[in-house]
Amino acid sequence: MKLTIQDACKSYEGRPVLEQLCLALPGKGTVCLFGPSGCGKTTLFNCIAGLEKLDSGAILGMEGRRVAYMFQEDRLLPWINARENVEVVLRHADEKQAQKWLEAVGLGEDGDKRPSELSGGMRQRVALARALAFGGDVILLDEPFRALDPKTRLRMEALVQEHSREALKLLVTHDREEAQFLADQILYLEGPPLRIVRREFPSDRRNDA
Amino acid sequence: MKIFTIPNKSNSPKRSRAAEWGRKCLAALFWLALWQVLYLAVQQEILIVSPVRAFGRLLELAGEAEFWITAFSSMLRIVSGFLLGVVAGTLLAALTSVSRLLYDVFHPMISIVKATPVASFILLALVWIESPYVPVFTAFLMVLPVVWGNVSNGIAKTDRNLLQMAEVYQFGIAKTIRRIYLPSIMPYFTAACTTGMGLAWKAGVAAEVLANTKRSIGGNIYNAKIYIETADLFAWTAVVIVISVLLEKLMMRLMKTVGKKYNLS
Repeated sequence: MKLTIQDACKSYEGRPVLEQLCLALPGKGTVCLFGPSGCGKTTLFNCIAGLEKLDSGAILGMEGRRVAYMFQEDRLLPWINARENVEVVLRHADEKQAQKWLEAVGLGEDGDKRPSELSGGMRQRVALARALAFGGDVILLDEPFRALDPKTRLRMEALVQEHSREALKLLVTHDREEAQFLADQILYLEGPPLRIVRREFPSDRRNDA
Repeated sequence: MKIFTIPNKSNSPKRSRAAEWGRKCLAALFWLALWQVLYLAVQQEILIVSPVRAFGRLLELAGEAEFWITAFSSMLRIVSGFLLGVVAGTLLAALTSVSRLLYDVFHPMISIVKATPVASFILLALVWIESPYVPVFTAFLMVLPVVWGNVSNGIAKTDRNLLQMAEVYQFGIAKTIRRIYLPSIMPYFTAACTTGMGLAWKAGVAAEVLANTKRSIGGNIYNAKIYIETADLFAWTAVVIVISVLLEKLMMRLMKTVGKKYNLS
C-alpha cells in the first residue's frame, strides 16, 4: 500500500516546518531523504510514526501498518542489557531470537552488556537490531549508520536490505554514496519548511547498467 | 619478555574497607569522648549521664522481656505508618501525574500537610483517634508528602525520548510502566523512603510521647522525663536511633536487591 502525505502542515511556535507538503511514497523499497540538518526530516518522521500530530493535512496508507523507527539517538534502555533491549520489542519475549538479531549485527558476544558498556557505534547497532527485530512494514531510519566504520556500515546496509524486502524503508542520510547505493528513490530536500527540490531514481540507473 | 604486575595492596577492597571502618570507629570514639568530657564538666546526672551509665542502663533494659515488646510495638506502629505513607504517596503521585485536575485538588492539601507543625497534627490526632493509632497517623502524614513529591518528580523527569521509543514499539501501558517509569522513578523513590523513614521515627516517637501511648518507646521517654530518670531517657533515645538506622540500612539493602533482580537500577 502506498504512503501518501497530503497537504501536511506542522509548525512549532509559529515557525512552519511542514507547509502544504505533498508526497507519494511506494509501498516498499528504499527511499533516501537527502537534505541539510534542520530542514524538517525528523519532524516528518515523527509525524509518520504518529509521535506528533499534523496541524492540518493527512498521512494516508498507514492504517494497520507497524512502524519501526531507528532514531538519531540510540534510545536504548540504560538499565537492561543489549539482548533485553532487543527482546523488549518482540511480541513474545524470546531470548534466542533477540540473540539471533544481535549476532546479525555482529554483537553476539556483547548481549550481556548494558548500553553504558558499549561504544556509540555498538549502541547504534543494537538499536538497528531492535528496529529489524520489531519487523515493521514501514522502517524509519534517521541517520542509522552515522557512527559506524565503513566496513561495518556496508554490512549493516546489506543487512537492512536483506531483512526488510517487503517493507518501505525511509532513510535519512548525509552520505551521497550511501544514498546512491541503497536507494530506489532519492528525495533531495530543503527547508524549513520542508520541500522536495529533486527526485532521483538510482535503481533505474543501476538496472540500466 | 614476561611482565609481572604486583597488586597494589593499598588499593585492595579489603584494605580500603578496613580503613573505612577504622575512620568510622575513630569518629565514634571522638563523639563518645566529647560526651564524657561534657559529663565530667557538668557533673550532674539529672542533666547528663555518662556514656558508660547510659549504655549500662541500655544493657539492663535489654535483659527484660518488656523492653523487646515495647521496642517491637513502637516499631510496628511507626513502620505501619511509614508503609501506609509510602503506598498512599506513590498512588497519589501516579494519579496527580496523570490528571491535572487531581493535581490541582491534592497539591494544596499536600502543601498544607508539609507546612503544618508535627505537634499540631499530633494534638489534633489525639482528639480524633485513639492513642495507639496517633503514632501511625503521624508517621503516615510525615511520609506521604515526601514520597508524593519525590515520586511525582521522578515521573516528570522520565526521559521523553524513551517514552517515544516505547510508543513506536507498541510497549503498551504495563510494559511502559515496568520498563521505563519504574526504573526512572526508583532513585527518587529510594531517596524518599530514606528520608521518610527518619521522619517517621522522629514524628512517631514524638506522637508516642505526647499521646503517652502504652507499651511504646515514646511512653518510656515520657516517663523518664516525669521521674527524672536521665539514664533511661538516654537509653531509650539510643534505642530509637539504633532501630531507625538499622531499618534504613535494611530497607536500602532490600531495595538494592529488588532493583537488581528486576532490572530497575
